Amino acid sequence: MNKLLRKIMGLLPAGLLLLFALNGCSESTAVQKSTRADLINLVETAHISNPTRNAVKFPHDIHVEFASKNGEECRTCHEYNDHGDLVYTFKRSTPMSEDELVKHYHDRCQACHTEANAFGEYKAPLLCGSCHAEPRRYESNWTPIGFDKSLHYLHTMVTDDDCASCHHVYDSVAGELVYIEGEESSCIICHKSTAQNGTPSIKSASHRACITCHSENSCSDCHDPIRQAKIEKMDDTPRLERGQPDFALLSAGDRDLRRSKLGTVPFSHIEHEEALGTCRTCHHEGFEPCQNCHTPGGSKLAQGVTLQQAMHAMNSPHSCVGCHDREKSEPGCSGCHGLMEQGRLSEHSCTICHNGPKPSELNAVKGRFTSFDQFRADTNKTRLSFAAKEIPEIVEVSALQDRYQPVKFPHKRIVDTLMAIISGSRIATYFHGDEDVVCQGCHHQSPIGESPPLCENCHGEPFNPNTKNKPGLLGAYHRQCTGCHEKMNVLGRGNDCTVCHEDKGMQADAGTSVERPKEK
Amino acid sequence: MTDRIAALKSRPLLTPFNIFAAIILVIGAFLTFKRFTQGIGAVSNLTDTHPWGIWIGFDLLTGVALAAGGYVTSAAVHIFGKKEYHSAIRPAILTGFLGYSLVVFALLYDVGRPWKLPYPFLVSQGVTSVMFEVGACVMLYLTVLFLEFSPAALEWLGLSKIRKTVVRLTMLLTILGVILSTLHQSSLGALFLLAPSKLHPLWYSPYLPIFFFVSSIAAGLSMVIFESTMAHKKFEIYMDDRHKQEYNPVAFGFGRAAALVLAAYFACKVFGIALDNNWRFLFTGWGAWFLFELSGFVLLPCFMYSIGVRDRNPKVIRAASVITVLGIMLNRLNVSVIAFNYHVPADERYFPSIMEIGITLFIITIGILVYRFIVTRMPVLYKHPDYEDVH
Amino acid sequence: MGITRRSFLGWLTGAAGVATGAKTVEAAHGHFNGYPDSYAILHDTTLCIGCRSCEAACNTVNNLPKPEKSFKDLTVLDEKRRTTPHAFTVVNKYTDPHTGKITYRKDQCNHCQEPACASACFVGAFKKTPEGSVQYDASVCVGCRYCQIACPFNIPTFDFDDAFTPKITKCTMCQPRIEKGQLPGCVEACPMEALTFGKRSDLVEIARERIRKYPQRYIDHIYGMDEMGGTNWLYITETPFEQVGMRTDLGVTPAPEFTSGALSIVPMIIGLWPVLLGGLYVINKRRDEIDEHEKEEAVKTAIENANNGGKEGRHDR
Repeated sequence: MNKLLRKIMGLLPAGLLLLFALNGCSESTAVQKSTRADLINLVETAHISNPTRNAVKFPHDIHVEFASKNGEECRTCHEYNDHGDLVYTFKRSTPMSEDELVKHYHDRCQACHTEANAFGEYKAPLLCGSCHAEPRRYESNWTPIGFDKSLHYLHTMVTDDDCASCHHVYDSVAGELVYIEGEESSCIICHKSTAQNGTPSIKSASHRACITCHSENSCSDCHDPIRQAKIEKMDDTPRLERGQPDFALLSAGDRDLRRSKLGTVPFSHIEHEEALGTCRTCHHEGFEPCQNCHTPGGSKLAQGVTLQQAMHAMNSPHSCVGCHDREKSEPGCSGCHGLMEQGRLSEHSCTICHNGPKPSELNAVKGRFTSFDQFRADTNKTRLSFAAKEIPEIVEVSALQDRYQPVKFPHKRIVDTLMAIISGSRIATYFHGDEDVVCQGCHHQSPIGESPPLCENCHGEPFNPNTKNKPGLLGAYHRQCTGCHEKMNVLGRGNDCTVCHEDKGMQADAGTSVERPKEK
Repeated sequence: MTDRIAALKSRPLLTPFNIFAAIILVIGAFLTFKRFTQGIGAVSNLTDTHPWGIWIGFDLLTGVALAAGGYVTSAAVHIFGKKEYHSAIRPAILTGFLGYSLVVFALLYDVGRPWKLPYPFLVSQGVTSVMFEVGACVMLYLTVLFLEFSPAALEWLGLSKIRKTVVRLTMLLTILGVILSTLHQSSLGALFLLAPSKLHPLWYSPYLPIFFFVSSIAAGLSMVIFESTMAHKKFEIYMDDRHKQEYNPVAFGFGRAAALVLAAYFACKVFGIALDNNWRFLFTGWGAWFLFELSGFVLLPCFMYSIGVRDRNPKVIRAASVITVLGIMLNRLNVSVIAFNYHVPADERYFPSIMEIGITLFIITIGILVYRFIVTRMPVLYKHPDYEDVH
Repeated sequence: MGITRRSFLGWLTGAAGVATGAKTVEAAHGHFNGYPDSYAILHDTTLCIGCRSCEAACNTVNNLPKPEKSFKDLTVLDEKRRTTPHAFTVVNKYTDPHTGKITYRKDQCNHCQEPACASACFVGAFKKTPEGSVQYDASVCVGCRYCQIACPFNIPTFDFDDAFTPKITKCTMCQPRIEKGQLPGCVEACPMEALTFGKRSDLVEIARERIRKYPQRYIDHIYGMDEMGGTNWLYITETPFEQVGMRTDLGVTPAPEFTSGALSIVPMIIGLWPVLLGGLYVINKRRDEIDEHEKEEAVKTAIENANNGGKEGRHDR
């Protein structure tokens, strides 16, 4: 009996463990990831060329928190150089070989971690895999923080308009930093992503400049996207005066291009200043003329980006066309533009901008054009070539009526709404000139006029292998309508069918055309 | 012999075990009725996301693994010539035969349309399926076990001529048994090869068939030791001298073999982790569970077996056999139920319903009762006096 | 003798070989790209508005019992659903935790090119048709549910509440309708044409064209091109696939390849084991015989020695 009892008692913990396994051991192997903005990739900062293990993503804020709680300061981990500046590497200011670096990090990190663990409340990692972790516990959401007009204005208020507190240029003769009025510019003009010829990298320079005042802030206070969104946005900032023109006629300085028949581009600088948050969007390397680097044939200075690409590249954050293309995704614009093939330019696109005097005429017309208004279309003129009263009030869409009543489409109201949006936007007003292009938003792939073709003239049965990319009529209607509604955030997602057409009250869950309406 | 028959006649009916068994039989009958009139869902927690539960994990997978004693013992005696374990054959074959019969019996509950079970072999053959191979081998092996066990029954019934014919087939049946057992023991593991996205990486491996096969050998060896321990406690009066004499030698011999097999199995498992570089999973919660299974139920009994054999201590060996048997059960449940569907959130995981457990207990109880019936009457634990040449 | 028998036979064989055209047989290295011209369906989740018309159509076309909550009831989308014996397809709503953006996705059998269910079924109840669909034959089904274990997308459902004729159910791609030139019910019903029906090769072109035209809208991957060896239900989406309940860790190996290795060893075991085991038996038996023989020899020698020694002893005296 004894043995049996012992056997049962032996089975009991096994049974309990089984229960534990079934209920508790169901965590998936996907480790919970948290996002942090303060992760420093040590392989990059130490320039390790052939790491044998995964890079350590060092969470700076955690260590700062620990340090401040235990009465430590920056100098616990960072050295100061002869000028009294903080050196942003870990306890080293002299160059080391890679092997020395690896040993340096391992010895110091593990020593401190061991000491911290002795306090009891900390669980600093000591195993290889805990630091060189894979899958990593932390996902970096570090976002660069750029100075836009709003942030700049906040800082000018705090420094009482003392530009010299941040802006400087390097006087190579005197060997020091000086402030020259009228030559203020963005930090990245001189400070690039890596240190060059003694000029510190942007990372080094910006931290040095910012941390002088922001010494109490952590990495995530500036680099966490959620905190960034919380920074106060100043809307009405004064214009940054630096002797810039209000208006310019853009032309290429190249001698060959002067013989071109394509007009120069009238450019309203002041309106672009008001529309954009920072000068860097266009003047991304400095205030010199673009073609100093972006030559027509492409040069090494510009990494081979030609002048044409610099102005017209669709995917560039700096090019004219690229920025204008991105404007199409604004809610007011995307109802039409969101459904069109992205990045598509028609053959009319050139003259919309290139409508200034030809380059060869520039000398002759010098001084005559002083404002952009001379090129702007007349906003009072109607946008449409046919009278507004000819636009139908209601259009009844009944081609496919089956389970639902025909749609009473408020055509005029929609056109009026779109026209109102366009006239409220300077860029839309300019680009939608005095053509009837606004009709093309829905009446696509066809010539414009008072009576454009009906949808069913082109959209027939679906899934025709000869017209693979053209939806059938049902899909065409719904994609066009709900697509626009969704992009412009009107009438919701479109899954409440009765918003547009009344239910005929057929059998409750009829789904296909096999159903017929109930006999009334 | 007269002791045996006297003991058989004088057994009391209302023992605690008999009462307990009777209750389970009644409940089982009721649950069977419920199962076949209201469907599987009415008596189990099986769902579309968890289509296999303990009926497959325990009744089928563990049952087949633990019934492996049959082929292991008959191979040891007939092929490897270990005549000193001869007395262990019949009990092992009986355990095997009963085990497989109960597996098929349990399948009648688990499968949706049990009357269509012959279809894969007679009507439409799905030969791309590992399960087809499992089914074919199990069916054939059940026949082999039936034939291997039949001499005992035939002796009891006095049908000596048929018995003589059957006994002549022993060698063939043994070899066939080992082939079929290799095939279906490994294929039960191969079943899960088809679901790499659902089985946790520590248990999923291309080596699954090998794991199942090797562990089935250890399971069979341990089950023989365990079964002989139980039999020795309860049914000693039905044993003959040879059986009693070989009681400890069987433990030592099978214990030594089990130690070696468990060591090999451990090595295979480690190589399995190395194959896909799955070391990192050992540092998770699942890893702890895996290490618990491997260290507590493979490594520990391996050492216990070794120590027991070295020190000639049968008690340690018998304890090790219990742990190994539990370990096999744990492993099969891990692969089929616990570490299976590990992606599914905790609140949607499967746990057997009380009725599922009830039916499993019902099946086990039937098995024990049939075992008791056979062992107390037929010449399994003793040699029939008329057939001294029993093979 | 001019011609020997050997050389004559040799010429005969050679002539036979030439006569049969000496056709070269090419080795086939199995990668199944699907039956040519098989149909498929492209699901564009950016177009799905979660109206459940497809669910309603599927219910009607397959004569399934009407559910408790009408198909117009969109509150069911607040919970994640899976296919059930009376719902071959479901639409689920996925909300991005960071942006709140909502994506809908229709879930149903993906009609894999090399289906796991067909590989798993030991009665061959599943067949991949040349039209592209995977069909299920309930008349042979035993109800073992191995197909449910095998399906990486967790689609097949089983009638756990049916005691007498439980069967597996799943989307059939409306095979009878396809054969008549009609569209599958769900495709016909979708108002947004979020489901496109056509030849698989055409759908891949359409998907690629959409991705090319709207690079900001779509993730550059057609789900189902290669997953599990390729499926006949393709997906393109804006939200990452993991966020709309689609596993991206399934790999490109077709399911049957996972078990074909284990199955291929079966004939090897049947061929080798008898020899191995029989050999062991013979070796052991032989060794026992030799032991026995040596024992007898030793006994004989001992007796002889004893007899000889005895004689000598008497002689001595």
